[in-house]
Amino acid sequence: MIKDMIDKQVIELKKLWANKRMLTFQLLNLAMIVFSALMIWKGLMFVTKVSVLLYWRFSRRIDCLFDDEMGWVDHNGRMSWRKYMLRCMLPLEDRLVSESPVVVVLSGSMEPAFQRGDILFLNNSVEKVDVGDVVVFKIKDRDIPIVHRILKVHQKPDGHVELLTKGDNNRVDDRGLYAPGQLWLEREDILGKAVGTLRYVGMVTIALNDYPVLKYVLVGMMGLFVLTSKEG
Amino acid sequence: MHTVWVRLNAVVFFGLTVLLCLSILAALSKIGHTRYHQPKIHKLALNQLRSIKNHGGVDRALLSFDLHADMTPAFHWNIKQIFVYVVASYKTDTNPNNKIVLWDRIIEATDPPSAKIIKEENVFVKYGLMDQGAELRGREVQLQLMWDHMPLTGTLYMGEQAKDTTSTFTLPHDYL
Amino acid sequence: MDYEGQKLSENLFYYIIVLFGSIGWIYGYFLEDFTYVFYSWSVGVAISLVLCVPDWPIYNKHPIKWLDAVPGRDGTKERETKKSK
Repeated sequence: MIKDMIDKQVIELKKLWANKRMLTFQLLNLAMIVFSALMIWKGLMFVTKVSVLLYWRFSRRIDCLFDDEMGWVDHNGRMSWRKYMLRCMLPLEDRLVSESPVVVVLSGSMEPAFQRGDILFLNNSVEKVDVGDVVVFKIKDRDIPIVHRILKVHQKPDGHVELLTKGDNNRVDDRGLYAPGQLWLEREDILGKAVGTLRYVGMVTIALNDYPVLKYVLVGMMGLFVLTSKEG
Repeated sequence: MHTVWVRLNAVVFFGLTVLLCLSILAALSKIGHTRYHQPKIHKLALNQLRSIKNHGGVDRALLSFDLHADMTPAFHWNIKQIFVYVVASYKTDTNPNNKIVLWDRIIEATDPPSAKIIKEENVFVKYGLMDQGAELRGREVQLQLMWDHMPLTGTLYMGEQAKDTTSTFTLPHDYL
Repeated sequence: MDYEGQKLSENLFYYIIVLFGSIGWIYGYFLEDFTYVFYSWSVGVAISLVLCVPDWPIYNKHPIKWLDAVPGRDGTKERETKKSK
């Protein structure tokens, strides 16, 4: 059955190649889908301020994806269209990292409170963060946001606070993660306080994260499907 | 719905939507739970002050405490775990408000019922009572039990021991 | 898959997933354990994937009847009309 399907797709592709007008049409169609997805995405971020941030493991993986060592470009310095398509889709997630009020937990440092795949909703409008709150913070000059719990709060007379955090599942506090010489976090370092959580639904993200091949297969399949499908 | 991919997509996304709705319903089903189900804190008090020393300009006190609390009422089917922690709060001249976690414990919903009742004497702190400077001596410290509800779905919310049942102690005026 | 089949398949997975989900939810509510909901939902989705995604013969009981080819036209034209369906 699968072989049948592949054969069918190949035939469709061949037909499409022969008919340039149709090919252009389908490519535009594909572009429209990609752009409308992008538009919806950006719109969602703007209106509801809710979008998906992929937590540190994933951002790290994206970082290395953009290294040329990963083979994005061939020896001529050119990129195949398929890789280009993938690369066009990846920065979508990357650019959201600092702006997003939704986080998918990808590390185990807060287990069992937050397992990998859980979705976290952040709120950055809270004025005060207190001891015991789970917060997402970012260290200066580092792109990777971290979800951990506040262990210590020292409040100065002018109201500003110095904080120390720790992951529930980590043995020591986070000083080692901070910038060299940095002892305390301040309110500005905090991207938001975790106010809500959603288990199970985020597991798809984890599947995509753990098996990057799956992501390429999915994206590739979507592309192929859009290229060869007809209005039905 | 005319190709396998469209149907696959439809089933998966419909499935996820249903799961999302079920999760939200579960969260809604337990609104107001805390109004009738509050953990019972029988005792939280200093047992023994072990030491108060100055380490490189920073004061640190080590102590142990007694804790009797029944956390069972805080659990329900949408709770994944409760994070219980003991907070020491005190005032100094430089910092009008200091809050430090001395001890914490994660109680998971899947733990046996006995794990949800904490009845321990002379518990040594996990994290030392460490000041930012050298101003711990002679300060009055308040111990309070707090807990964070971590649900499967929905909002995180805190609970804390009623202020009038908390205990306080005064640290000595000299290092020991 | 014909039109009737598409309708059937769509209705089928709606009902299956919702049914399994709700039964699991009610069961889980009374036993105070959400994992039942998740397992029951998973079973529902798995059944739907098997029943509704592949093109089973049951979905092809109402084949679409096309008009006969208009006689007197040559083969190329006929292929064209087919392509643009």
